[in-house]
Amino acid sequence: MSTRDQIDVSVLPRFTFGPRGLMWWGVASFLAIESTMLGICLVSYYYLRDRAFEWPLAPTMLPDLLAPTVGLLVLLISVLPMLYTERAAKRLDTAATIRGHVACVAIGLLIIAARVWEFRGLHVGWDTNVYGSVVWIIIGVHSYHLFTEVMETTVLGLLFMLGHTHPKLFVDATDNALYWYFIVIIWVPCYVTLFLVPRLG
Amino acid sequence: MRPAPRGSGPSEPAARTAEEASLHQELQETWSRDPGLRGWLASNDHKDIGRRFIVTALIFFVLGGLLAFLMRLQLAHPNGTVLGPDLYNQIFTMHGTTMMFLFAIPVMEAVGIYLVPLMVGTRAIAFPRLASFSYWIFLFGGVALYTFFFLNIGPDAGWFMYTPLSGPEFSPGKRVDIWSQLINFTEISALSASIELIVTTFKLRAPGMSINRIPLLVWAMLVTSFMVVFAMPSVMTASLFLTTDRLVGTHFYNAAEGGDPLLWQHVFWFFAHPEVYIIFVPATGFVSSILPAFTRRPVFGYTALVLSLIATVFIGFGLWVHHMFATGIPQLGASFFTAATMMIAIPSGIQVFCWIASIWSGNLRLRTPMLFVLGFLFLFVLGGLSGVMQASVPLDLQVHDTYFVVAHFHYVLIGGAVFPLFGALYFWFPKVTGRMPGEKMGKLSFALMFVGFNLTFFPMHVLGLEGMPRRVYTYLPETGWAGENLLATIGAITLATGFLVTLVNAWWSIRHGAPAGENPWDADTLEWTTPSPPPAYNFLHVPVVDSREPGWTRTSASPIVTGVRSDCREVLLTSLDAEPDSLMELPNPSIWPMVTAMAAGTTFVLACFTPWAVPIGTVLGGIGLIGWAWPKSEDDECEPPRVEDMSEQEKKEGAPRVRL
Amino acid sequence: MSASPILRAAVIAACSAAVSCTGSHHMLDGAGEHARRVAELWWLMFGVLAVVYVLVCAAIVAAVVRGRRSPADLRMVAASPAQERRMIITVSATVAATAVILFAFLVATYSTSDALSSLARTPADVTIKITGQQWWWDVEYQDPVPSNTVTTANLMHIPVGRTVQLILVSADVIHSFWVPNLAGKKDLIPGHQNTMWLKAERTGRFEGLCGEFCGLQHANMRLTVVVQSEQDYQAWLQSQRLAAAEPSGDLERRGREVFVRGPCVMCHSIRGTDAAGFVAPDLTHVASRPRIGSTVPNTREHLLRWVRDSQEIKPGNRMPPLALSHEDLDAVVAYLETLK
Ligand code: HEA
Ligand code: HEA
Ligand code: HEC
Ligand code: CUA
Ligand SMILES: [Cu+2]
Repeated sequence: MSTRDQIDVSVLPRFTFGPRGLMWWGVASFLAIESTMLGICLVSYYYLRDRAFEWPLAPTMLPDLLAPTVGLLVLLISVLPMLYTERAAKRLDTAATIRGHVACVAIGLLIIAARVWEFRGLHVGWDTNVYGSVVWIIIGVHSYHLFTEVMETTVLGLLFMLGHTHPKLFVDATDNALYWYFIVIIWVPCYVTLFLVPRLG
Repeated sequence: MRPAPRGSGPSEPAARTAEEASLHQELQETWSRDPGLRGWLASNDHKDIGRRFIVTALIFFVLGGLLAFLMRLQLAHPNGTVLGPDLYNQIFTMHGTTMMFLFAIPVMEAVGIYLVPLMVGTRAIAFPRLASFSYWIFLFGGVALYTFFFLNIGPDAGWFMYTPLSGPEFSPGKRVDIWSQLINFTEISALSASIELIVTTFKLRAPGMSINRIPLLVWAMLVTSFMVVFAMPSVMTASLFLTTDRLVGTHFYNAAEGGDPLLWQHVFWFFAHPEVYIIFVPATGFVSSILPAFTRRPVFGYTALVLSLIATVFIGFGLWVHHMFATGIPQLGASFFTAATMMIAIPSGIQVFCWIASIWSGNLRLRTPMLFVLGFLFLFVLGGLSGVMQASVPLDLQVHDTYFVVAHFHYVLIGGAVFPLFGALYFWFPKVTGRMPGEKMGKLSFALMFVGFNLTFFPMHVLGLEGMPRRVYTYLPETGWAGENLLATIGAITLATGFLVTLVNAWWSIRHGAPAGENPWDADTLEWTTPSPPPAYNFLHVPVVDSREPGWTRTSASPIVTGVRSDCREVLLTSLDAEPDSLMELPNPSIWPMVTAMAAGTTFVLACFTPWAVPIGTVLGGIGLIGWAWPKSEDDECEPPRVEDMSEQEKKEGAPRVRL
Repeated sequence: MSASPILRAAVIAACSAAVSCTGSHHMLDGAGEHARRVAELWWLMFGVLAVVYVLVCAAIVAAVVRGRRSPADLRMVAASPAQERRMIITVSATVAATAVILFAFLVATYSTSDALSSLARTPADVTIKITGQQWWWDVEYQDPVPSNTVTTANLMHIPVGRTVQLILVSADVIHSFWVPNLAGKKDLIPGHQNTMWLKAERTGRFEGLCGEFCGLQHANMRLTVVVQSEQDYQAWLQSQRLAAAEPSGDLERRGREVFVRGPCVMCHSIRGTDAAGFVAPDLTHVASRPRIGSTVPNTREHLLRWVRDSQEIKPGNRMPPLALSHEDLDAVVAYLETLK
């Protein structure tokens, strides 16, 4: 046995952050899938809009602008507490990580509240016409992600509070941040499509 | 589904040094699944999962084949009376759906799940619990579909479910709903499997297996997985739209309210064209793996083959409109898709020519797997050439939706994918079971399949030219189609007998086949350097790869990795250029993936009936996922210490990297 | 553009039912400009690809023969660098040849497409609106004078050598208009209006079939096209313009009564009577059609069976079985038979 070359890897780290670890790639693939799906919803939106004589289809009114704009701003701002959380987790700083999670959940609930308000300003039902259908599905899919992510962040925060302070959980927290950023970034084209494009006439 | 009873030879690694024997003991304890039914259900060993996945997919293949057989009986004569229109429509839809969604895609993923970790030289698949989940959700989907079918609620609008025929107005009842839910089952299963395979290939390759040493099958599975990741969401969206149209009254495909039936076709084919390459590309991987063993040389043109695969992926996403030429696509657009479709013949041609060159310059042994490869070449090229004809718009407008197309796609699907799959089954049979498959029966099966296949599907080209549309449950005697149809039916019986012989062969060989040993075909990839069947931990020592053909070059003196814990389910992570990078503990077997799959399955079936399935499913799925991801108990010595117990030094990651 | 006659003969011989090659729905037996040009394109591509296929098969066989040098010998074969280089050159050359062939196909395809679309630029001599319905074809001859409009079902007469414009729409699901001897398919899609052009080049009777799966009776959604000389066509059109003739016999008159008082009028129309339903085939000249329900030949016996219970002949079709008494049934059928 001693005659063969051996590489001793026991000194290697047993947890790593970011693309060095497995979980990051898993989350990244998942986000690729979800982006593709939302992308196809958006393409469908433009396809249907292209076929219509007017958009929104008469007699539907334009959607309100205030609520979604406020929602977008809050969503963009939410990146800050998440960045804070991610940094804290990377430092393996338990107390700061917990603080970060609490802040994120709080702002997450705020975003969900804004979302409910947005729905009320759409002035169209999903079964009114195809404009309504495609608008609802895009917001619906995104909201579903938003809801899941806030839940996930809550569970993570609780686990930290319960003292599951293993390095793995900190890695999970940073990968969770990736999901959060995705939700923020992907909403920008959705916002432009749903609320600005119809105003272009 | 257990491998052959051990004892009489295959299996246990030839005992080497005492040191190695105790290492084997310890690894065995760490990696084996728990005994009993619970252990079986909870297993997250990729080999267990791969095996049951393959067997299940083959069962669906037999079911789909039996349905095809019924169709052939009905069509053998004009004015056939075996099946009525309602049943016939369910049967051809079930046949297409089964073959595409429950057989062809899953079986390819399944072989990947079994082989990829072995081929890249690691102890387990990335995300083993997800792998277990992807099997269970697939199984539940298939069982749900067939349960509905036996209750006479089988889908009946064709495997591509064109709207508005499949919409709420023209397909009332639940038949179409179960189809769209089946799409959810399969897509989740395939997407999970793809993520596992991508990450396994990226992060778990043995040290030294750099980009240019990755086996061609692994390349094939990798590009396939990427296609799944970018194609599946499309059908997911299409079927989401369809479900909401049917269930809550949205109007995506309803022309009266501004929707468009053609939206369905675009979104569906944007998935379903890549899908045919999702089925075909892994098959090319089988071919490239089988060839070296039987031509006694590495495959000719490794780089060209890899680049062809990648080109296929990219071009493959730009072809979908060739299924829609008859819808009245503007001429300019149609011309673009003609050009793109013809272009895909180039990477396929490169592959075919490289394989022929390998045979030409090798020293050929005509064992059963190799026969299937040769059969593949003859059949796939024919099917590919008829595909090129269909790429031409004016020509396609004539042959579209006729038996000419049916002939084309069976040539590429059976000739191009099922023949290599059978070659693969024979090739890896000794690895999986530890016993050799019967050679005589194998050759007999091949001969029957080859002859039967051509008898069945060649006449269909002629039928198409003679104007026979597909999806007709009957035809009139004066059409003159009777002769070819009868021939096709006779051929189908021969073909089915050929399959049957292989099944019998497998059954017999598992019990009585000669012991296989590590590398019975003298093949070139890593899985052949470990015992057959591979132990739960795959490799006694994680290998260090120093060539593209480790199966041929590795000896007992070849370099290995040490320092990966054997008392924990620990695997070595490598960087993109296959340098050792870090260690990671993988999760234990768990029953939760199956529970989560059950929760998801219940949700999907409920979603045929009520939109409340979404909140119910969220809760059920949430419970399953929490159980799944719950952190392990406190005192687990495999886990790195809690952060409070770490020194500042330990907290700073970036321990020295090991260089080769 | 036509390929060698030998190949042509070979394929025709390969059609096991050689008769049907010249039958009434063979796509290579072109009777219209579109189908003829496509058949030419077919023979070109088929000829080239047949040669390609034979060459590839020959290469495989040659490789197998050469490759089986000493099958018992398990040693690796190491190809010399010179040999590998020769193989690289050969493979590259074949790939280049593939590209050239594909490019030629592309040019042939575009030129055929162009030739065909030039038909669309000539003014139409006849315009026909075709509405696909589950599972029959509504055929309406457009005319500037509304009363000259002619409506038939599952039957279309067209003049030879004239440009015929078809307007294709659907009343329910997607269907596809296809008469193999005349032209390729075009779909009828709800919410879309498609147009296609036909130019028949010889007279005869040609069969069409619905080309897109449309439900239970997709298999029996046929259409007969009769290509006639201009005079015959005009004569036919004239006869179709006439309203239904006054029945002469008592039985037939009674039949008409049953028809217009009974359930039939809910769906069918017969010009010249009060029947003006529009969800089912116009029956004004039903007796002049070759088939009933586009399924069985138009004989008295079949008509009787159809009216008694059409589900028996075409299961699932949209005409329900109607409880007519024996006498009523006889009378209605006798009346329908007069509608030439
Ligand atoms: C494994 C599956 C598989 C594969 C690999 C392919 C491969 C190809 N397919 Fe096929 N196809 C299907 C499965 C597949 N197809 C299915 C299931 C359908 C029908 C779906 C339905 O309607 O139900 C379909 C339908 C289909 C259509 C639509 C027909 C219609 O409905 O009207 C078209 C049209 O362009 C097409 C084209 C092609 C082409 C150009 C290739 C090419 O990739 C082939 C390339 C290969 C070669 C060309 C042979 C090797 C090359 C050489 C030896 C070099 C020399 C070649 C030349 C000089 C040309 N296919
Ligand atoms: C991988 C995919 C795959 C495979 C393997 C097959 C295999 C077969 N297929 Fe098909 N087929 C499709 C994919 C596939 N098919 C698709 C996608 C469609 C389109 C559907 C649609 O239009 O929606 C289609 C459509 C289709 C049609 C057209 C139906 C129509 O348009 O009306 C026909 C007609 O003959 C047919 C026949 C067959 C036959 C005879 C086999 C045979 O190869 C099957 C032989 C196998 C067995 C019989 C089972 C195994 C054998 C045994 C267990 C032995 C014992 C059994 C007996 C002796 C009976 N298939
Ligand atoms: C509910 C509607 C309905 C009623 C009522 C109805 N029909 Fe029909 N009929 C149809 C439809 C739809 C078809 C076309 C069926 C097909 O080919 O798929 C048809 C077809 C026919 C045809 C064949 C036409 C052709 O060109 O092939 C005849 C003849 C016919 N009906 C006669 C009658 C008579 C006589 C009655 C009354 C006793 C009647 N129908 C009542 C709907 C109806
Ligand atoms: Cu109409 Cu098929
Ligand atoms: Cu395709």
